[in-house]
Amino acid sequence: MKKILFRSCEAADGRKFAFLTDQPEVEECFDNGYKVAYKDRDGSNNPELLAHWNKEFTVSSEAFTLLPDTDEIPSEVQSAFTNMVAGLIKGIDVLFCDYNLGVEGDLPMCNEVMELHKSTDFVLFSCADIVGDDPSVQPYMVSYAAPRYKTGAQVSMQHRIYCKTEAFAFCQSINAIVVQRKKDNLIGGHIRTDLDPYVAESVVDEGAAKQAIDRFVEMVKRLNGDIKTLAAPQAS
Amino acid sequence: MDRYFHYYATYLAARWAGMESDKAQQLAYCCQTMDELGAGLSMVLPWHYQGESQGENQREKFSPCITGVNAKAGDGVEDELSTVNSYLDNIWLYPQDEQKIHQEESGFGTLNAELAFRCFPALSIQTVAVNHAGEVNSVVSSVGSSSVSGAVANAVANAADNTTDSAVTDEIKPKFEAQHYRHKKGFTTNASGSRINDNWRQQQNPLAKLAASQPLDSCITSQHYNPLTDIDWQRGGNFKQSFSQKLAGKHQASLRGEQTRYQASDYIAEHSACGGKTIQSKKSSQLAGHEGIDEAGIEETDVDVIDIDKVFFNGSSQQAVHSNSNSNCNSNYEPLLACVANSDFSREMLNDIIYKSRYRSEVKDMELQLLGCRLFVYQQTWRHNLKNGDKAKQLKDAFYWTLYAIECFLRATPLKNKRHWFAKLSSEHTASIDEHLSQLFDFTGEPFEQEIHWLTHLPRLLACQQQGLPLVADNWQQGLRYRKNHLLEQAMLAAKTAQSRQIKSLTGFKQSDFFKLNKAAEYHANWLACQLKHQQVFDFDTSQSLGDAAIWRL
Repeated sequence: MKKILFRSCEAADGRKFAFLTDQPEVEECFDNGYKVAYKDRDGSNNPELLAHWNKEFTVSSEAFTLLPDTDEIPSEVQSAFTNMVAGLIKGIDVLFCDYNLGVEGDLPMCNEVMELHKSTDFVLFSCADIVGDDPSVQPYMVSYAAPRYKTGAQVSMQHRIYCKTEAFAFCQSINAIVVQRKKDNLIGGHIRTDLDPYVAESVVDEGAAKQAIDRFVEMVKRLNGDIKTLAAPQAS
Repeated sequence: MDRYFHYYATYLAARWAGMESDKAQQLAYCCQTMDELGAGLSMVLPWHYQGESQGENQREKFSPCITGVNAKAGDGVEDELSTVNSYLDNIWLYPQDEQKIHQEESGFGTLNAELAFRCFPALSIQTVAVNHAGEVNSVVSSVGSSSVSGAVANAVANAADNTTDSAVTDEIKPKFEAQHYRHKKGFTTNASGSRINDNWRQQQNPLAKLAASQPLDSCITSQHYNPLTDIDWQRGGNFKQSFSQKLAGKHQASLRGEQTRYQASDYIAEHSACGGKTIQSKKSSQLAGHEGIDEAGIEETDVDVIDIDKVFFNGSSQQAVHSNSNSNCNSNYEPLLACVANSDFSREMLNDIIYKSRYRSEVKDMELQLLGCRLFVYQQTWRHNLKNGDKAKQLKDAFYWTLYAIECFLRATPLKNKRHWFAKLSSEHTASIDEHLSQLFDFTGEPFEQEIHWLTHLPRLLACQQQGLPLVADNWQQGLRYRKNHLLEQAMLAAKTAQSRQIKSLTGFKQSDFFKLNKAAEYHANWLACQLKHQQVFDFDTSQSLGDAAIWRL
């Protein structure tokens, strides 16, 4: 039984990170990745100290079973997922998400949302046992950068990173994104809130987040037949 | 092969390359003795050594390497070779018979010695891959009015392209590039069959599409891939084998399902990825039930790593172009293990000596013997040419390449495709050298007459190369004349034994050329066994062992 976990955090320099997964144990990796990556960026002048989040909260859903291995994702699940992310992504700069959230096999859930929310960078990590083990042949990170907007002369790049489920890989992805964004800023490629207004909004609060993920979990449960109709209570 | 070619020609080549006389003679003896080490001859009788500290019953046996079956130094071997080659033709062109043949009865003799030493396989990648591309071409061209199964072959061939091209592209460049395209990043082939490879920029989704270029019905199977786990970045960014299998399997399944509900209008089947680990069992059951593919059929087009897509390719092409495949077989497919004169693989074998002696210590102390052993194998690759072509020409070719090989060995540089040394031969002597060599190689007559011919020509030939040296006196030739069993006798002397082959002095025996030559032959046989395994040829295990490894360590 898995739970969806959503963690929304604000980094030391104000960037908003979000973390969405059905493997709750990865939360620690995510935190550690951030702490190491931002060690020198948090303005604390103390190089030994790991960074802290400015603000953060976590919500998790009820338990549910993952959707079984199928050839393709059912469209209801895909749209439910897209809606959930649309609800959660307000104001988020970087979203760490499970590659195959909510499903058993290695099916990508996030392709749609990556297209929809181009002002957010995505880091997708796979289930740990699907990813291979041998470090000499298994890359820990594969990164793509696509232009965010079709219009405009200087366009910044949206990062889509596929990485291993470990703190080192998370740290590297955060590094990559932060550095690249700085460079983008220097050459004039900015996040354009006129094209993508959701980035300027404030981050969702706990209640709204919980609602969003619960709705998704409901959908999955329904498909799985987890919810059974209650039998009428027997007269004793 | 010419009776004394291995000895005299090697000696001459070694002297021309700059070796001193005694070393050259040693090399030549090694080379010729390889011929003697055939099964059933006195050379290969086992030796025995009884350790001092051990009891009476402990006797370590040293069994010299076998380099052939019923080896007779001389022309009689050619008949046997033709049967071996035709045996090869049979098993590789008609795979169904191959299962009946056991290793013991194989035409390669015990321990596959013939294969390792006298019919050195060419493992010709080039001819195979070209045919692979050719086969694809023929499939594509026949696609027009063919049924869906043609599309399967084409589509799967396209999937196969992705994983084979990394192994093959190094060998074949222009021919294959035209067929080559990438599946990554949402690239699709057009329904009309033209290969577009800039669509990918527009689609950023990692969505691999596999399309059959069919004018009538286009069937696209798409499958999402995870760039972290499904792409083999180290080999050029193609899909990993597991993913290609998935994709191909899915395509097969969709087409088979489609056959039952075919519509005239365009039909596009979209599938998303299926689970990772379960595919293994799926694939094998798919294969088992599918078109009766057998192992030998794979090896026809096998290149480097056995690739399941080639299985599909083979299987489906056999199904789709069934009438063509058998007739094509004879003309297009060259048996993988056929012996080709001066093949790339044989030169690789020679280069292996140079590399190993420079960088590794495996062949320490036995480099010269290994060179002698491998020169023998190398020269034998010309053997089957002798019956068709002009004998003198072939032997001269063999001779000049031997010369080049020895030069490279002395200079510790690897052999290349071309013989660079040719310019060094002084021009005024080339004609007379050529004439002498032709006389020698063309000679057909009594063996002792041939020997005399060699011995009389040798000084002149040597003088041609090394100008300024006076013609050597006659009496040195007595020492040069080939003496059968020379190495054997030398070893017996060193080991302080006689016909009984009971070794009394182990260190002496180990220093003898005979012992080192056997170590070299064993190394070569095991090396070839490894290479064959890499090429997924499991039926011919050429490895040999001389006895207890600890005792018979060099």
